[in-house]
Amino acid sequence: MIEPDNKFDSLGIIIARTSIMTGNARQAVDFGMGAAKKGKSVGIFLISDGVWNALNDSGNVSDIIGQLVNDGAKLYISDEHARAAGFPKDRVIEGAEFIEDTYKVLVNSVMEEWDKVIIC
Amino acid sequence: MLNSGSQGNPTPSTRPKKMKKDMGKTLTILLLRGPYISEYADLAANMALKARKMGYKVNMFLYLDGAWLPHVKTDKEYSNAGEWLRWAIKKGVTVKACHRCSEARDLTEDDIIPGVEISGLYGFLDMLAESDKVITFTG
Repeated sequence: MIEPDNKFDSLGIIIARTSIMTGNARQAVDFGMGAAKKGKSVGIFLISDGVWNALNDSGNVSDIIGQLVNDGAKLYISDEHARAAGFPKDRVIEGAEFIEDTYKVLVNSVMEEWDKVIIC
Repeated sequence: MLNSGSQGNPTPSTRPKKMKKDMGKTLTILLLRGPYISEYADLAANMALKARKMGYKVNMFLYLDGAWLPHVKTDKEYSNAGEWLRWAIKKGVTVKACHRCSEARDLTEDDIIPGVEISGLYGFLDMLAESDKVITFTG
């Protein structure tokens, strides 16, 4: 695993795919976990099919995301995309925030909140 | 596949015309995926449009299969990435497509949306040089 360095304070992870479709989501949240352990602020934004990574009982990536949220990471989920996917909100990871204006919050996070951004 | 534009976002015809002033920061989006193979093209075009509406200077560079995006140039019965790209250009997003990638796909400026410059990679370097943030839709 690539270890986070000290050149940034905050990390944003935008996930647009399920962990089943690609191993990139797992690598990204692992990196996020490493960043959190080094005291970095971590934010995760789930869009498109990536919303499925927020199911609280699906194991794998969602377990790590849940752990990150417990440790203080912000978890945003596109409400628009969750609705389109038929995502069951009663099974979402605790602490997640559904975002109505997906792109406004996404752009603001990228431009103003996060030093580094991973998209997968 | 989700269609980002049809799930609650206003359509281009209903979008407000008023533009905010330039907020002084520049976002560059590198797109390496074509439309309809994943949602990255939709996400990139929507994000570019929203960032511009929020007042940021926005660049898009279309590389590898991303060069196909401006080939989606006609109106359709559903929202699509080409429509969002046209709207982004209209709102002031600078869009360049890789010359070599376009040539390899037999894409000329006659085949694509007006307002997209077919450019060498130096065009991307210029974008990088002026950017506060660069994000990449790939993989």
